Amino acid sequence: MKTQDELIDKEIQEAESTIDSLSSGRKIPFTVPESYFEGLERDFLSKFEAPASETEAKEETRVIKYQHKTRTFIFVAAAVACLLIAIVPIYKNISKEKVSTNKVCTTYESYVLNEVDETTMEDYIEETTNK
Amino acid sequence: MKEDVDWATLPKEKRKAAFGNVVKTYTRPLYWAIRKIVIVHDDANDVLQNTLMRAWNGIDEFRGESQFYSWLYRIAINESLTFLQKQKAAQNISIDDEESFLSEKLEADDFFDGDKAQKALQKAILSLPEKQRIVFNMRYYDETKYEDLEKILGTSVGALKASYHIAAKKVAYILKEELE
Repeated sequence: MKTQDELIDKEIQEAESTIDSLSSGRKIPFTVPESYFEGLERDFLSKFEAPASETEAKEETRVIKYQHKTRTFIFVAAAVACLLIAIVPIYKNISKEKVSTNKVCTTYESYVLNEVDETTMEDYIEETTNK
Repeated sequence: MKEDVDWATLPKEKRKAAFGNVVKTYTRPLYWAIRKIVIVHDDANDVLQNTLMRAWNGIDEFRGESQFYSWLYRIAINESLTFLQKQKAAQNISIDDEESFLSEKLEADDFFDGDKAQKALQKAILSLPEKQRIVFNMRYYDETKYEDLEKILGTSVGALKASYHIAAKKVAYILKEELE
């Protein structure tokens, strides 16, 4: 006696035979444009590889650019800061020096005037004028 | 073929080469699986490209639990069904009009190269419910084993066999009515 499974298999075989005989075989009645598969594989592989690598390259370039810009900015900022740090005290020193030189000059003048007596001074002026 | 490729540990550059081999190996069978569902060549072309891109983008999801081709076929079938659903939604096609919608696609396809009997067979297949249609095409044309169908469709062998049994009988009956 046939099992349920065997009965199903038999019915499937019968149905398949009917379909085969009526539809002249199991050929898929669809076609594709000429060289479709060759073109598809080539196009897809180039699309799939090229944009990916291009994108990666672009991304990489962008990252490098960004890092480069950031680095440049940091260097410039650091340089400006250093300059400011260096210039401000120098400027202050120069100002101080100017003041102190004036002071020195004034002090030296008064020293000379105090130390040299009037007669010597008059002789000196006369001598210089005659020359 | 590529089932032994361990995608998870494969370096990125080697992955591309391996996937290139996948494209070369599976393009044709995937195309025909898709074409039998969406019918029209241009649609099949779109769905195939979506399938390959989706497979590439989701390659990390493939953990080798199933065979690689089963995973690819599953993506292809899902993409095909999603594509049809979107088309039907865009054209306001109801479930009742689904058969005529697909038959019209068949009539409009420039790359149909069959005679009257083959067209009748295709129309009979298009009258089947979605899942039966997929099972019928994969069993009748490709002679895919039930065990492999189980892996692709996630349905038990018993249910698949029952599905094919009903589908084959229905197609045979319609063809007889149409051609005899």
